[in-house]
Amino acid sequence: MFRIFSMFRVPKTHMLAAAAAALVLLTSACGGKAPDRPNNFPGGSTMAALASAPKIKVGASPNQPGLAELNLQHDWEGFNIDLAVYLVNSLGIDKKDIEWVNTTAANRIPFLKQGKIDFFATALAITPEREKTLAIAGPYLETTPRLMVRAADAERFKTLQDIPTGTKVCVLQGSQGQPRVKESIPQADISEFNTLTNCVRALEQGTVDAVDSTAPLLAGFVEDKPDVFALAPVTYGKGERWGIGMADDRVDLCEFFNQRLKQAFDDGTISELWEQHMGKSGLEAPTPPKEMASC
Amino acid sequence: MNAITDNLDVFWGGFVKTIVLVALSGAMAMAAGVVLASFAISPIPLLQRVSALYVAVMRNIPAAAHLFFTIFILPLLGVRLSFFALAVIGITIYFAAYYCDAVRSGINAIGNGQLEAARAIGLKKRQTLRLIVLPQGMRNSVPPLINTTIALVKATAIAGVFGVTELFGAMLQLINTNDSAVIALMLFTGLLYCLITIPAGLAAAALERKVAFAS
Repeated sequence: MFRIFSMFRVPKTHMLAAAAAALVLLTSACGGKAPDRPNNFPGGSTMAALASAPKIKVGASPNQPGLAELNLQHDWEGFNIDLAVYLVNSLGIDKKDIEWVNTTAANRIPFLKQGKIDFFATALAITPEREKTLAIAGPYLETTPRLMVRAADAERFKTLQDIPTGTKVCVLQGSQGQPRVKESIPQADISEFNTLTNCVRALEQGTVDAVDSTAPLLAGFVEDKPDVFALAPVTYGKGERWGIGMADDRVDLCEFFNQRLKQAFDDGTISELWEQHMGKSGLEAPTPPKEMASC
Repeated sequence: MNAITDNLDVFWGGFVKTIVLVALSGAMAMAAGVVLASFAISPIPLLQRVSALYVAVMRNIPAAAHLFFTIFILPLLGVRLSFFALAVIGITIYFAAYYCDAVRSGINAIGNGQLEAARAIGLKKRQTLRLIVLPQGMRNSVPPLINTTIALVKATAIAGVFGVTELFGAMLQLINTNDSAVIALMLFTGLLYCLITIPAGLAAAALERKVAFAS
């Protein structure tokens, strides 16, 4: 290996010294000092572990107007983002110690299981299948599935029977879209894309006729381009309840977040954040759920 | 295990779509590759440059970018085709560059003596290409061709996130609804891909033995 260095006519001792210096710099950058924050959580609990780690890793999916998006300064903003910050603050961790991890719907569950993210902050529907493998706090929001269509087509999609056979419906890969469209609109021709923005792009270009998702996700897109898109009147499928997902061995964190979410409803934080980000969407702010999902 | 047996129909649908994707794009890309390779060895400088430019540009753009272009930019330019057809176009354009280089490497392996002998007996350039160069060149290129084809089989998986429910897309769909069986589903999908690539490799080895000759 040192023969390579000798190409540059640098003495061996200088290279060793430089390598040693680099190693010292690297380890000091990676290790990090223990953060200076109050940690009153019970010893051994997930909350204590998170509060004593230098950074908390939060997974989020971007391109959800009003809920979670990356602005031009590459900062995250939206209702779900602020709710996540609220929960992180309740652990005593500051917003600047959040490491945001860009996560798609298809890899959020693997990331949670592998510890690549500590919890997932954006749209995650609570389903019995997911409850088997994750601990989900919440719900903090109840939504209904809707179809977004091109503005001119809105009137044609009034009921499920109106939808012609072979209508191309775009769904988000990794969401509940494919199971519910397959069940409620069997005559549709389903295409799956890895992001909702790609579905919306395809709708605009005419390669699909409708995009399936839930009302809050679609409302943002309609608001961005109200003369291009519209929400079709038809409703179908079961509503979704959104929760905060984490690995299933973190039950204590899940219950902690459940209490913080209840508090957020009680003190009006949720209404306030909704008004701030989704006020113009025409959708009502979330109301406290009748019961929290079991962790 | 139930996740696999209950959803064999979904796996089968994806498997068939992958096979058709591979067959269509493989055949078209190989044909285009042979044409481009002929351009590359042509005495006309323009054709040589066209081939070199095509390979240099298309090879260095990732397959996912090619698919994104065909699925989202072509419709913007007025092309009205299904996602499947657009995916075939994207994969064909990308792999034509690789097939071109595979064929070119086979052609370069032909001994000089062959070309000299062809000129000596008075064959024209096009006749030399058709009767001497391409037959021997294709025989030599069987190993790199099969490598490229196996790479193509794997690249079709990218179409799975762009509206084509082929094998990889089918796997993602099933993992979503059967998350507790994710390992079994992934292993089964890997097995199905091997069912395509391993026989292809064996067929190529058999083909190689059949067309080999001392040169």
